[in-house]
Amino acid sequence: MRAVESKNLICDVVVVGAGLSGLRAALAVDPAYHVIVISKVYPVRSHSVAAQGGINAALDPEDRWQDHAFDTIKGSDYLADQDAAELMCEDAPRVVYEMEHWGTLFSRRPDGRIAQRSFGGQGYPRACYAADKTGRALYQSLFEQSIKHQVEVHQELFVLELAVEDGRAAGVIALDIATGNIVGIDAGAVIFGTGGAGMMYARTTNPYINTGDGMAIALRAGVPLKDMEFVQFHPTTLPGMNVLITEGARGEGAYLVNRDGQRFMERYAPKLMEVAPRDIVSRAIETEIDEGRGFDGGYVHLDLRHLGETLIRQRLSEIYDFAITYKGVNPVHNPVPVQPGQHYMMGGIATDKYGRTILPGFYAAGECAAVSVHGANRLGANSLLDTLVFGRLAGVEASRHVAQNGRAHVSTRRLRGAAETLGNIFARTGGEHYGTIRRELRETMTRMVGTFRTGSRLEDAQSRLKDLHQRYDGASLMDRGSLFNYDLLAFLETGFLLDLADTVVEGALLREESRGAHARVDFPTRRDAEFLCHFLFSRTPDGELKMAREPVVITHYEPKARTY
Amino acid sequence: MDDTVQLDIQRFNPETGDEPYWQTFDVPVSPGDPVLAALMRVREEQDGSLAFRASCRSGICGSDGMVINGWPRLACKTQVADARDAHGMIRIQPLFNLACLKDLVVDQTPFWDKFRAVFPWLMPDTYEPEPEKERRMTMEPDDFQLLSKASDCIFCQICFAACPIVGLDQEFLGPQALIKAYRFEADPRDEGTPTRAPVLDDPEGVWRCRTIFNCTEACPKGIPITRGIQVLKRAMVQEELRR
Repeated sequence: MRAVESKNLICDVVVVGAGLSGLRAALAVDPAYHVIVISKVYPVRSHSVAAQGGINAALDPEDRWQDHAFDTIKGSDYLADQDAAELMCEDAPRVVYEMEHWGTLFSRRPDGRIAQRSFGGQGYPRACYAADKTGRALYQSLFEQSIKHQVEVHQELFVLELAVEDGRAAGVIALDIATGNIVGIDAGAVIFGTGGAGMMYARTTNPYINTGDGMAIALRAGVPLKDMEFVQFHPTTLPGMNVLITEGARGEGAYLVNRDGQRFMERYAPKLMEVAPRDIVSRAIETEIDEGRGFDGGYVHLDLRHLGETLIRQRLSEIYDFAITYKGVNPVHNPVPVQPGQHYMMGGIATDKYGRTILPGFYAAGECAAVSVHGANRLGANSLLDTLVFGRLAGVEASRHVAQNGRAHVSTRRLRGAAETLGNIFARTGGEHYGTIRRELRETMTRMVGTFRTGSRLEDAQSRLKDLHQRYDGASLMDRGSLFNYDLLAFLETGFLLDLADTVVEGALLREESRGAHARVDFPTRRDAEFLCHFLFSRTPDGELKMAREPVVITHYEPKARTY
Repeated sequence: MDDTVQLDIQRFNPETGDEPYWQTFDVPVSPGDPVLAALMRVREEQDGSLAFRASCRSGICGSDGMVINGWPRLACKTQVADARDAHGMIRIQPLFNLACLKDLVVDQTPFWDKFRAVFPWLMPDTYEPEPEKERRMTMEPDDFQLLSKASDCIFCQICFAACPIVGLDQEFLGPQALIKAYRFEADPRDEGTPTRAPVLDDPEGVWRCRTIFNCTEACPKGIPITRGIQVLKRAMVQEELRR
């Protein structure tokens, strides 16, 4: 039914995703090799551009990267692999200077040095920033470099499968969105920088495109996912569309206030107050709302007024605009309504600190990967850093793999199989539409697998997921056209999200403790003796999920109680 | 959902017909919904074949530029309440000045070609050492704010669609490529003027701009594009005098 394009793309390294990790990986591949980057959207649409607050680096002579590493590890509730966190934090100043030399317009101090602000869980103001548009500033520089270096990007190719041939990654199979054709991309190595999966939640800061494609495709190809139960909820999003309000606002000194006018963080994190880590602030806000101290409609106030108009309009210009556009609230004069929303997946494709997975020739970096540097809770301004540090390393490692193993080839049989799978989806009639299934999935995850979790609600979520899977298997399309068939894309994305939701819920059920962003009301304490370990999820040949444990790498920082 | 809006959408699918046509959808909306939310509801609940690009929902990714009530805008930054007319209707078309591929999806190729033509990357002094240490950058705060504003471009193509000169003259570089060039020309770290001047200082470069200000008015990020182009014109005269 679907045409298989006769002319396949051939390269040494194929990078899937053109966000920060993907482009950084592509630029790091040895210039002797041919790199192709593919993305389901145009490069500048990737979600990296939406990052607001900053990128952490111990630049100041008074600061040390070891302290950054400690803050990251403590922030992770000791689930981060400490060697990886150390590698990232030590590399951070180099990354920032490199981006600055490539053109990033960082905000500056009066003496011309890069300005830094406080951020959640950091013991030192070390978040470098470009107003509240740091992701866009970094991304534009990287995108410009990719043009200068003539990186070959094929946009609007939607990845369907990771091709595994003879026990190694051999390329990917993609759908050309503009034509509906299936394209095979032969490569010696494959790098995924495919981002997060926030669309499995109803309340999320994530864009429509963050549907976990890469994670789900890896899982289906036999590559394990790590720590999927750890989902970050950002404390401050605008109720409604859940547009992000940067942590930088609190870094600059904004207050969180409940209905009684109280700065309630003094009861949850008396030392760090509003700049406590995100898991703690999100739970504090949820608790205030649950206990009746929120406002009608389920939110609290973020008060920026005392920061003054100049600071707000210069250093927080985007959120100034967001509050006015989406809520009709001018933060110079009125407090901004905020509530927690899904923001980031700490879990992802299990990699080591060089981006390698268990599948030879397959690498992952950025949000789709779990190295793990974020453990059970990511600190703000560490994800931009993560993409640039580990994106680069993945590119370097992929080059090394190609040097040793050469190119590989996606088999015709596999291409035909992909075409047949799509043909079968097109042939289904009379079934439910993905729309209702995806809406129920998102509602279920937000209601039952959110900030606070209990065993019984998770079990309920699990049985609902089972039902949704069954309905999805019989679902059919509204649009059977070839060109720009977004109905088909959303259908496929819904399948990815369902597979990933299984791993999130399964992990949350099995992890009978509270650690970082995973808070079990029925198991309120951290239990290191049993759970100071990663959960790795993989699929058995008959589709069942199986879980394996992996020890956490400890170098210098013994797990301690986590207070702020 | 306590309200309904009527979306009148220009449809086009070359697979099934040669001519564009108009189709109306009644869509339930909630207070505060942007036009994008209504479009998504159409695609999820009424007609899955409706093609439009969208991603971030908050005016950062630049995907959902389209013509709403005759003027190019971002669907995610346009409130239903503001856009609906007295009859509760909103008219939606693909962006002007770019060929329509399907429904609200346009061919962006000319836009990106022009952007690439202006050498859109920082060209530092080639004697600059490798980035091991911090490079200081000092600017007057007002100048830095102007530069920072110019760098806000999200590649949404709205200025390109709003510019009548782009519509008349396909060779014109257009407002986006020029504001991008300005972003580097205004950067004290950049030394790229001699490289960019042949492209900018050309009848199809800065001089084709007729200061109509449509780009500035339409830009969803509020970039003073026309002003930037005027500064570039002055810089080009100076560059000519210098040569």
